Amino acid sequence: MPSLPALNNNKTRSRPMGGTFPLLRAPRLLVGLLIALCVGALICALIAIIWQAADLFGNPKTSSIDIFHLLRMSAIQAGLSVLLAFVTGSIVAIALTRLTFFGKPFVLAFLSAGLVLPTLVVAFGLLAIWGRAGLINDIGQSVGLGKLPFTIFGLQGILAAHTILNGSFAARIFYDRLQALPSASLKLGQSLGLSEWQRFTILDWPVLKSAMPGLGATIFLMCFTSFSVVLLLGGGPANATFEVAIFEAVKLDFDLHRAALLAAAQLAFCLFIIIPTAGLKSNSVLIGASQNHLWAATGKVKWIIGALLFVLMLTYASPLLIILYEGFDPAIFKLISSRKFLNALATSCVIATASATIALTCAMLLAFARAELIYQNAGATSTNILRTVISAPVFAYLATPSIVLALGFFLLARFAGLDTSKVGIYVVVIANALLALPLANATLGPPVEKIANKHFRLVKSLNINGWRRFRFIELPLIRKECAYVFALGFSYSFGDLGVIALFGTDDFSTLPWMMYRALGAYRSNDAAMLAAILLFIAVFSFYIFPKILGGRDNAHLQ
Amino acid sequence: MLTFNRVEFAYPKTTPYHFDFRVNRGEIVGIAGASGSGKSTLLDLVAGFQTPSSGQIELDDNSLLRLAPEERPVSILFQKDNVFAHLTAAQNVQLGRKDYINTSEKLAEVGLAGFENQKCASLSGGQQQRVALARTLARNQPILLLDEPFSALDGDTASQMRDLVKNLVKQHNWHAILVSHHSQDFDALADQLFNLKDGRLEAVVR
Repeated sequence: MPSLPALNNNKTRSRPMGGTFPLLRAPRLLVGLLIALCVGALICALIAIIWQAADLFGNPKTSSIDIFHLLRMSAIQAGLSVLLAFVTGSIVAIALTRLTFFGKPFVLAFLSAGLVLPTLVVAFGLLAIWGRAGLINDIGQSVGLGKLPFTIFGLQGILAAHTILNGSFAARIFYDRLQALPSASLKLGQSLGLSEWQRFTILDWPVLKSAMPGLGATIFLMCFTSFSVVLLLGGGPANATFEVAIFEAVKLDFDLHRAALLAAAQLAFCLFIIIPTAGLKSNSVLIGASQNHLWAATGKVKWIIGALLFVLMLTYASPLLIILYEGFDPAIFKLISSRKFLNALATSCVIATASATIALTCAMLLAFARAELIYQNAGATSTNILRTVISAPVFAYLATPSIVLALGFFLLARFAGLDTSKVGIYVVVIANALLALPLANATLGPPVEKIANKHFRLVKSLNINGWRRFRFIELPLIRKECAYVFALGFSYSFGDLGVIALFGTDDFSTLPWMMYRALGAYRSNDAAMLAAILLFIAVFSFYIFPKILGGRDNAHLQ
Repeated sequence: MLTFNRVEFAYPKTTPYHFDFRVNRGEIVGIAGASGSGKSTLLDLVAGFQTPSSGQIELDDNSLLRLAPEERPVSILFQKDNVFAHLTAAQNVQLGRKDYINTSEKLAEVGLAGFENQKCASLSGGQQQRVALARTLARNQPILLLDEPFSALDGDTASQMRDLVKNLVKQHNWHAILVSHHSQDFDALADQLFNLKDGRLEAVVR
């Protein structure tokens, strides 16, 4: 690290501060507030436009909406998805804390990547296994057993896809929490000879239970607002969610009145879930915490949990494995050299890079603004007010899921008389950045505030402000988290179909959109190859960006 | 007698440790040394969390090495996290035994009469250590491993705990090994003192 420049510069010494208004002299706080207000204003404008549209467009008499049915179906599938994610995720996490085996780091990396797996790809993978022309039916017919007596389309398909996507996410969170158990507690339990049941009830269950409310709310909202999975596997209006209903209203029926009403209803229901759960502690999504004592399972228990782990990991991985198997065939060279593919790839890369950069920058500036309150040692009341204002944009995505956000932008462009196909790229970049912001904030916020709490006396006494504080104090300590946030934003945006679904055209196409179009045209070979490429790039980016940008490790913050 | 007979252990790519010493009944052996010198590793070897590459650890001529951690006649007191905070004091003490015992009696013996139904989360650090000590009493195992158990306590509480531990070790004839950074702990408790340096124990003349 380069040496620190001379710090004794009286001209840069900050003035003494106190109360609410003098706090606004802190540039970081002002920037954070400005971002928060911009995002807030944008969200409010989009919501207002959606309301306006409900009055202006379409004929209310012709718009038939069964909101109760949509609500019931969304809630049932989301509730069951949470339950299944918890059951499978906790089994996997518990098994991983008790077993040591070759390839365990790979399994952990796979679970971490669950968060960025393109949902469209997972849904397609399930089709490739369980669909009418899928692997299981092929095998069944070749051995004379005939076709499967059930179809993948419907609630069962939705639940399977959500369990794969969220079960692995839940497993990773549960595993991290279990790994954070103090070594002393594990050694004590082992030394006391606790039975497996006692170990679960005394050590594991309190940890799992504490993680469940926050994690459950997050998974419930993700499933409640699920789009790609329901679009592909829902099997028709009986299992539609609000997101799919809005998409169909805009894209298929061009009934903006119905779309606006549905968006407003979805917004209201999401807020109804978010408000009581907003106070719940966020879950760390970073790969990380580890204790150094392994209390390994022995005897029968070892074999039982080993078998359960194997079956569940196979369930999680099988749709992805079959996509890689089916997708990488010789025809892929023809596909990847086509102009359409190269355009879509370039657009996807530009959108993902731009939205990841915006999400990282916003999350960092918002985290610095919150930390500034600690550095300025503000009074409790002013701190709480400002903290709430600065944190508000983080809830943007939760309050306005992707399709609602996209619809708002879509209507805004129409109101402004803009060509939606021309503004599409900007809208998709901004919307995807907003979608990544909650996770970016959950990753960057806690370490930045921890640095502030630990060093604020020293930083203030040395008068290290602005760029120097970022360069020499904060960046070395949060570089790994920044790289992770960028990778998360990139992969998430790269695989997203939600926003592009309203703006995509022949001329403006991303890889997920191209894959969706291929599926719609029954070009399943093309879809399989695109799914394999999407999967590879999303997961590879999630793996490689932290390696390239994050350095070997953060400087150590004890 | 607890015997370390030419015990060797090494983490990958590190200097190996050599342990060769004895702990008599009712005796407390102190182990001093810098951070990372291997003091806690020594305790892990007795408790069964690590396995030596060679040598024997025996209690009264019976090898401990063939026993799993939960089968070893050992009680441990760590610096912190000695109790399960969401359980009551009585539940924590009862965890030390498979059969039902009078936990109130054990808690009273460490000065916590009437605390049976208190959740450990609501107890002070010193009280939590006493609960752990009550559980040690309930288990009444012949070996007591003390891994800096007084470091997180304030001066007076640490002093009271040292007296309590010393009395219990003498009274029950336990073999105790105390690992610490603090000379006060050794002054108050240790019958023998070793300094662990470069993987070897050196007797400290006092």
